[in-house]
Amino acid sequence: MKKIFRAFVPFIAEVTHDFMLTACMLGPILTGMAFRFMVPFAEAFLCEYFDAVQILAPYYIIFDLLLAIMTPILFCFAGVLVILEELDCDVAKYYAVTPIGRSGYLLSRIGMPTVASLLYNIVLLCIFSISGIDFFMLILLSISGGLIAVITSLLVVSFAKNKMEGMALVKLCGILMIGVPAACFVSGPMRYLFGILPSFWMAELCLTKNYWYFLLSVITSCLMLGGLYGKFKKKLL
Amino acid sequence: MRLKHLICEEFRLLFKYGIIFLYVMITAIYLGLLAAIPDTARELTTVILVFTDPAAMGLFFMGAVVLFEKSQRIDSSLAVAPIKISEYMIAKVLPIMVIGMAVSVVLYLFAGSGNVFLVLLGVALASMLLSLCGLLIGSRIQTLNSFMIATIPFEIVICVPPLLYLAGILQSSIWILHPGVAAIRLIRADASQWYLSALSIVLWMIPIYYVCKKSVIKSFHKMGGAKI
Repeated sequence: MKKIFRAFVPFIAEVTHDFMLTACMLGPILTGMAFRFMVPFAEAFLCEYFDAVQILAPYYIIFDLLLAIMTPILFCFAGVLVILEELDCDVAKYYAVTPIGRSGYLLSRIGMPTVASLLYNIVLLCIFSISGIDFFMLILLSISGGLIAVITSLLVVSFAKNKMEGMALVKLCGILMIGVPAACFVSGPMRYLFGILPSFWMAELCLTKNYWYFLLSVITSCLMLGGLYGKFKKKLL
Repeated sequence: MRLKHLICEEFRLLFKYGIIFLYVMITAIYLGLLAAIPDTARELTTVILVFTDPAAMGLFFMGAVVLFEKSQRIDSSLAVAPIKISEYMIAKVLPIMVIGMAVSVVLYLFAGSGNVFLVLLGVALASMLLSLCGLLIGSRIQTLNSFMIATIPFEIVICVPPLLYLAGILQSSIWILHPGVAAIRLIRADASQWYLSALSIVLWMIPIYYVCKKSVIKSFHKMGGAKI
């Protein structure tokens, strides 16, 4: 653990130096504030304009889910960009042959930010949640969100050969969040096609309050992570 | 001839590193999304999607393109090659603009209405402006993290007012002087004073072009590449 912390220090120095850490901390707060204050305002405006009782209110959970996924993704994003730099400069390979190894390297760049984001996410969801989900559910959502962030990060660093491909993959990883709107808007058996995405089970968990869906979210995440970690290991050495 | 080679090479690079494939995928996803949303919101969503993605892709990808060149020492070769800085800049901006226009036209034909010429003009001008901003930032920074941070003020200044304009919060016609608002007016095929909208973006582009050119010259003179 001490070794991993030692590898984590240069990472923190780098993200602090170029204000990425500040952006990671501030980004979710700004998003949370926008959701907390602007969405109910938009709802009131739309209801008055269209003379309806509720328009956005049944979908408030989508905003909470997006915040739960976005916060760890932003934290891990800083790690992903640093890994892409280190892969381009071949520094990553040197880290991998030091005592921290490949898994230690990944833990220092992606694992630690994810753990930090878990606590941060719970606090943010407590403050900015608009759908009124309970505290236990917030914890489950933060864990699922953290796992999705790790999948996104591993997907980018495992498949991208350089920064350009990395940026393209970062953009494409938005697909992983499609499970959230799919669970809310797609009906019939077709919706279970999205079941390969952890975000789908995360949304199902919130919509049905059936805690078994959390397990499905974790299982799908672990399956993806297993495959991606194998790919990353091969890539690093 | 040099310019043609540079542009072809840039296209090859974008194809090789999956940017073109990415935009084929993104177009398919956007088409699915547009098909799923109600008719009443489809046109507005198309305008927002076109403005924030294909038109703004230069701001997102230019940093990666420039930093990749720095880390591969391609800019060192380009600096000693008999090319003009203006040619280098045009070759960087043009392919991204063409991809953006292609994506926009597909989305617009699927879900938009009005004059496609205006939409393409808006996308082309917005893309050039934002790509120049991306190139300006990219030529000055050394890491992807710094690039992402440095683009935030540009994104806020250029992209927020047009969205407020679309929402009806900003209504004064003076806002046509803002490049983002001018671009969104063209992208939503607003034919009233379209020439003023286009002129507004071009007028903004001229100083940005010169500042960007100065910055690229400085970065070429500095050399040494990215952080190793």
